[in-house]
Amino acid sequence: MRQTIAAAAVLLLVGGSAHGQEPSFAPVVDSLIKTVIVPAHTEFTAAADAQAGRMAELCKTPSEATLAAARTGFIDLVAKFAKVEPYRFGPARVENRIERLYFWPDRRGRGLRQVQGLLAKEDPSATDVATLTGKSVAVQGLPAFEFILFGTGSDALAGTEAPYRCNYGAAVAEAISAVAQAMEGEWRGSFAEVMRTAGSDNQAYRSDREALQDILQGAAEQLEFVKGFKLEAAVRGSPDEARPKRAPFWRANATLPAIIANLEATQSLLTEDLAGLLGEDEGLVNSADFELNQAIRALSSLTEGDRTFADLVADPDAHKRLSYAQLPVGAAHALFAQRIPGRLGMVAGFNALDGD
Amino acid sequence: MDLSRRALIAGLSAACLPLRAGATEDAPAFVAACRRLDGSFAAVVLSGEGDVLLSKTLHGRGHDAAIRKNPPTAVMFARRPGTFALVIELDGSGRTTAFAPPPSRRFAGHGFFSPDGKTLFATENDFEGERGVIGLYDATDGYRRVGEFSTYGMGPHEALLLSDGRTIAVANGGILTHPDYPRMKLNIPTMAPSLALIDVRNGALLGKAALGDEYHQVSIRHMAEAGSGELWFGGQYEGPKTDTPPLVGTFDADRGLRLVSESERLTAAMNHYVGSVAASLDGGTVLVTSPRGGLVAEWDVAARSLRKTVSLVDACGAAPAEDGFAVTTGTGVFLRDGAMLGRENVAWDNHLAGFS
Repeated sequence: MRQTIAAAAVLLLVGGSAHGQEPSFAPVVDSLIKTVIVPAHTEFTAAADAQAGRMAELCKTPSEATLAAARTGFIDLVAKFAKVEPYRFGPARVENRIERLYFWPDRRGRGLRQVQGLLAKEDPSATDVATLTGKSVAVQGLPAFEFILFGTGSDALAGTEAPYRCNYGAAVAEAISAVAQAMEGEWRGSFAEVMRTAGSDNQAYRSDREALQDILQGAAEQLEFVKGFKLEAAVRGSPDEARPKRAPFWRANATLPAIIANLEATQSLLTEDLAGLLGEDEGLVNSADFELNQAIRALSSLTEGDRTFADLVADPDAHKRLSYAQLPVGAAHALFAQRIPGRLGMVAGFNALDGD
Repeated sequence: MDLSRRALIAGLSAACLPLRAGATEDAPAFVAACRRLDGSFAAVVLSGEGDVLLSKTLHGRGHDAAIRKNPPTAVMFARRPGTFALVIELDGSGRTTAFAPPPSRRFAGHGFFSPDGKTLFATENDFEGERGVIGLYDATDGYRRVGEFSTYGMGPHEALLLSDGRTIAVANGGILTHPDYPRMKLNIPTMAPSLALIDVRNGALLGKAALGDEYHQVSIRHMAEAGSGELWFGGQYEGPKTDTPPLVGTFDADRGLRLVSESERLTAAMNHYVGSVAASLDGGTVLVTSPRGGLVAEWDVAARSLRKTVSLVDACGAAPAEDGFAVTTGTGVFLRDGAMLGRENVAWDNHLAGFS
């Protein structure tokens, strides 16, 4: 008699439950949503609202002061966005919201060219949020907003000769605000409910383990993103090889604040509840916290003063620190991607990893 | 597989595994990529019983193999973005040679031989041109690249030659990637997957079909030709997890592209992801695997109805076998016709290429 697939499946499950009693993931999912994810979205929504107000003010009474306020507000908005950026699943995936907010990387500067095209043609449909949101995702989010406020020609916003640019910027701020509100709403309501009701009848999560896995995986992907795409691709091997314009938000000089906020966002998931789930391996949470602190400290030391990201990568000492910071980010990634989920019995299969 | 392990498995299940008699026992029947216990990668040739006949180290993760019956040869492609292919002679010599795509191209992981065995076709990403191509390699002249065809779409993945011997079918996954941001999906909001039929003699487009706007985020990636020349394909969904679009569909020249409506019942169970598609030798059954869902599903081709589903951890590789299918998993299991024939200390990679 031959074994059946069912027998094989049973055999394969033996290794999976070696850690004894099944911990309950649901309370941890619930607490992470309530104490980490929702508050991050609330702050992002508030920052977006405030920025929409600053843009309205700038367009109404353009001046050096109102422009400076809008520019400072943008950097704050970027940092608040960076705190919700790891949650690229769920509400962020609906209607391509994540790309609407942050169409990046834009290797060929396609989005930039579209933004420049709108500014050159003064297409009125980009100044109304209702019609702006029907356009390419690249012209309605943070990279577009950055060019409007910091790109070539943006100083004119302090005077009265750039009403189109200002109104377009105001519409972008409103569009961002609307997306932020929608995401926050779903994290407070419908999507939180989807995660909380994980189970065999749930279309998205068949177990609360899967729900927690998505949260941890979001953090892991964010760390991979920070290390590989935001730092390594721009910093490269030496000051000579560096390509600072590959870094995000270099025009606003918000590269490091955004990256630091990304790291803090993943750090905020390292709660006592999560440590509690890990039992005797709760030290993994401390290890991840330690690595993230190392990276944050190295990067924060470079944000003092007003050096641009291009200045930093050109300076051998700063370049060294930017290179060094990638190591603890990589170590934290390994903890979020493998060691912590591994201990929680949620290691993705070899074939279940990123798609092929 | 070593005998003690086989004995152990047999003992655990209190069942004996009959060895298939016959002279073909040691003949190459399947080829698969794997990750070994020590983390190295290999291309492996298996007998029909799942015994390892040959294992060749790869210097990176492999994906799928193109098979030539005469003279018997397997060409294992690197996983995308792939920069190598390994030719394994199966004439008893076990000789290997490697070749690479041009610097401006990356292998997508799949390919096939022309019926006369003289030309190898490989799906590739022209990453600067942001388009898919099929590279043509002269198997009689050291796999020298002799040309390329457009795939008439972006992000090509699996391609195969239909039984008419002159039509290439290629699954354009629709996703833009670039080696600067390895494996990052750069165009999710605008992705446009398609199935293209191409004349193998000259690369001319014979037909192309796409899913409607509603399903433009179902990346069409794998397929098999079933009875009556109908193509069955499996998709991977890039949209919100709370959606449940059908992931299995069919294409033929007369009726075009049709989703198998019953398949949406399985979308959640498959965790929005189909890993491989295989058709039985008689063409009457199609099997799809979902490593993310830990599921294998079989469809009756004529009735377009789901015949059965089986839970199987990290199931992905699938190929027709003489009286059913062979399936491999990331946990090292080899199943044939629903029976577990072996378990190796390797993680079998996404695909299983068969000689039948």
